[in-house]
Amino acid sequence: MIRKTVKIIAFFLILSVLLLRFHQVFRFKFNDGIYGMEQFYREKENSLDAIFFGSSHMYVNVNTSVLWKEYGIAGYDLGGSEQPVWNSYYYVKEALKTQKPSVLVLDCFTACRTGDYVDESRIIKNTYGMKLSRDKIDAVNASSPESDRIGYLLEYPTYHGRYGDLSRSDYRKYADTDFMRSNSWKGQYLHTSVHSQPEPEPEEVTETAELDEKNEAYLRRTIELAKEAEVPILLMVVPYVTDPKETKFYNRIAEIAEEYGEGVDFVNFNPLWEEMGLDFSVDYMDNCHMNYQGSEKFTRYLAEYLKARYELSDHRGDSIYQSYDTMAWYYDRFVYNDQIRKTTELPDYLAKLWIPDYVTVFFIKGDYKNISNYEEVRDLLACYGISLDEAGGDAVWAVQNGTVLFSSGGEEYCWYQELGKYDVLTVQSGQGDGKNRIPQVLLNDSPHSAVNDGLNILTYDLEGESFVECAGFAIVDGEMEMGKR
Amino acid sequence: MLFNSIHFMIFFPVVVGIYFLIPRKARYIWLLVSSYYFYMSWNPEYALLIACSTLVTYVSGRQLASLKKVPQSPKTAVCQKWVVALCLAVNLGILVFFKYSDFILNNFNHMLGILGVSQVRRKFDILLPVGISFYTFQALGYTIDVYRGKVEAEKNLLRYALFVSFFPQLVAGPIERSGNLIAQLNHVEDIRLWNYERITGGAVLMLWGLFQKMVIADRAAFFVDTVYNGYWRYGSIELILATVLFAVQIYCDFASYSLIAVGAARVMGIRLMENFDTPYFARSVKEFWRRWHVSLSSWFRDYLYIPLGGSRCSKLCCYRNIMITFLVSGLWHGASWSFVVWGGLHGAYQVIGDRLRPVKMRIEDRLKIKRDCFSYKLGQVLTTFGLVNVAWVFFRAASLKEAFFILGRIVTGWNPWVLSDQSLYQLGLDVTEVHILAVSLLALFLVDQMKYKTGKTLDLFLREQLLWFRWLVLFTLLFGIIIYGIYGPAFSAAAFIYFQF
Repeated sequence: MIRKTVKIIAFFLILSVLLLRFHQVFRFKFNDGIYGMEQFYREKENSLDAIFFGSSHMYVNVNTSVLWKEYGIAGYDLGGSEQPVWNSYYYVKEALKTQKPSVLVLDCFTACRTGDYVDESRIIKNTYGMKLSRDKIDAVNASSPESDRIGYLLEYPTYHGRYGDLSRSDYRKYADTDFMRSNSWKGQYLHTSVHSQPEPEPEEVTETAELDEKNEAYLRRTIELAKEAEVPILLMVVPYVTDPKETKFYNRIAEIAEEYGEGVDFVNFNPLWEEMGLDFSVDYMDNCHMNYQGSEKFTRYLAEYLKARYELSDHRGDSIYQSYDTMAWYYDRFVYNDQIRKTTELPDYLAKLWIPDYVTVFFIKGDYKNISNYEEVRDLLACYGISLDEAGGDAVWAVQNGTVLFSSGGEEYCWYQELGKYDVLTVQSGQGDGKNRIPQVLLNDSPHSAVNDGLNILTYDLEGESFVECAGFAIVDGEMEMGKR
Repeated sequence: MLFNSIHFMIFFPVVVGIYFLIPRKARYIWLLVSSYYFYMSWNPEYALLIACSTLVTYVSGRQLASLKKVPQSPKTAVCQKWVVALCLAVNLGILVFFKYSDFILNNFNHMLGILGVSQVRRKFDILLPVGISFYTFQALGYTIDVYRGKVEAEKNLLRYALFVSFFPQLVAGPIERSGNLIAQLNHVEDIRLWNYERITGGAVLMLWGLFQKMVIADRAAFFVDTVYNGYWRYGSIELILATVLFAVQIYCDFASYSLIAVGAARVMGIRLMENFDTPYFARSVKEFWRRWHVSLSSWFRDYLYIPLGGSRCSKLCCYRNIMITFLVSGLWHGASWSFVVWGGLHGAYQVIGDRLRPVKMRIEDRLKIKRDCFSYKLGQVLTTFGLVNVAWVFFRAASLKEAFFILGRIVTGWNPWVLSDQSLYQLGLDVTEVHILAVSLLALFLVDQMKYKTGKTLDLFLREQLLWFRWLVLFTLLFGIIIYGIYGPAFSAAAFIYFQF
């Protein structure tokens, strides 16, 4: 009997461990909804000044790094993709269990939507990050049709089918990896691309339009929740390429906010974009989302508004906000890496790489010995300890902090270096053992090469644990281009 | 409540937990309550039908018992026959009304149409109660057994009600015999609940059943449905593959239900009859029916084929009896001419097989074909499988016209290039899914092969193995179901095919 009992206990123990591992690997890992909430639980109690709820309009456009670096405001973007108002309500409820911020900020974009439910992926992104509680059950009930609720609550029925989509990152412990997934993330989702948008036409819309019944009910519940907790709430609209029809809904939200009086504010920031210095030709990555440069401008304006209206103190230098300092460091690195990517001229590019904690692989191919600007290229690369004169045929050098770690032409055919916890850089010289091998630079087994004839430069940020890019400077008509391809 | 639903995953442990904890005398009451809850989770109103069927067969049983107590005379014999006839009429009447009224009306209207008379229209909709064919046959089997004196009439109405509604086998069998199940339910108080081997054995059967259903049957269904729902677009290869996969699907679907039923009952200490015994290893259609849906084919054998005269009559009468039995069996499976043809084909295979046997033997003798070698037996297995598959076309197709079109296209639409142009991966199963299906089918083949060779089911085989191997198989099955099973919000739990019968 004892033997059997031990066997049963052991069986269920192993089963629990396997189930836990299954959960870790298979569960959805979305930056735009699930991680934000999961990481939120790691924040120290009553440490946040401002929490921003809602859709991507919040977590893309409200830059918590700028809030911290320039104003000392401990902000957190607690949003989810297309977050419906009912999910914002439960997020606010969840947040107020551990935080007493100076202001709650709610995005109004999705309050204009209609329909009782959103699509499956949005249900998942806006509920799975919550810890199991009565509120989570209520959130799932509010988010999904009755027949599907049990599946969303148990979660695994929705993610078990990911076996075809699993990738390397699914096996990682996300908190250990890059900035976007770390405790220093604070919910923001930064974009770097630029897509010019039409400037909004100045248009006075005074009419109102009724909100969808469910949206209005949850909007009111959210406001009442904030009032009950005695925390001021700001309902806001972030500047984007707005449809005038949506403005009518925002006017209605303004009326609702006014009904509640003190402690409930509404601001439609749309008409104020010029005051903020936003430039729709460079500050947006699509019609709703700013890139990080745009978010910096908007966030500065917002921070001034918040500081003027709510009691927000400057926490910079306070040791309990160390994770915010880390965030600022990562943010600077993120910006610097983006600047590297946006630098096009070879001399400037090489100058940008001349900082510690980057591994750079130079990989030159083709008839580079006979290019007309050979000496210029040779001298530029010489700063990195690379001797182009000594190289023969396709050649490759791996460099860190001005030291050449590996160069082709030596005895070794292949060289690799572990980068951070998860990435491996492999360099094959294509020479050495007499076999006709192809020279390659591989990051995690994926070959990288931007140009076939010319200079390739692969850069990896060791501290930020992120691949920066593989840039190419091509040889065209017997000359190496100084502009990046 | 489907066996592969989250609802059942909660329901079953709760039922078993309480069953283990409550006083012994209350066990059968608890099982009865649970069984009715199980059935009512589909449609509460249809519990009235099963209650009605229970009451009629119970009263008939009691009547027959009292008639048997009085001195036997021709009059009492007639009375007994009348009781049985009445019981059959009521139960079959309910079955015909709910299951066949559309079929009868459509055929009636078709005839009226030929005669140029205006058609009759029904003013209400009838929804087929889940499992009506199963519990009706089980209850009728009891009445006939009492009439024949094979079992005593049950006195306790609630125990008898549990026999008719016992939830593991209520909606899709096995169709239990009163002699087996009532006897066990009468002694449910004596069952020693904590029996490690029995409980784990039952759990293994349930797990293997769920694997067959959720990983194999529901995955194969994607391909089958894609091809059969657009059959006119495809050639021989797709249609043959879809038909063979349908054979796999229906086997895994139905056998899995029976396995889960047997496993669930075993966990509670009740032993149900085996319903499938590696049917696709059969070497003749006759043998196929000894291995496929055993509880139904033996029911038809005992309550229809033998009363008709069975094989103890002239060859012609015997063939007539076979054809009647299989045509009725076809109709039992569904109210449509396709099912009748399906049943008829199986009957015809056996009649023709019997007629051709001497000729076949003579040819084989003349050609000196060895009969005891592997290739001869394999040929028999493949021929039987092929014949069964031809019949499955009628079973799966939506109509007779569609079935004939598919068979015609299989013969005329030869398109071997689809085997190499990757287009097969566009038919509901991509490369990953095909790999999963292939590995699962290999597992199914190995388990069935073991059963065929040794007679051992998976639970018995595992019991003889070392702990590490047992657990490896169990964890593989469990995580196979969790990861590769077809379920979740985007997927509405696929009903077991045999529920409609």
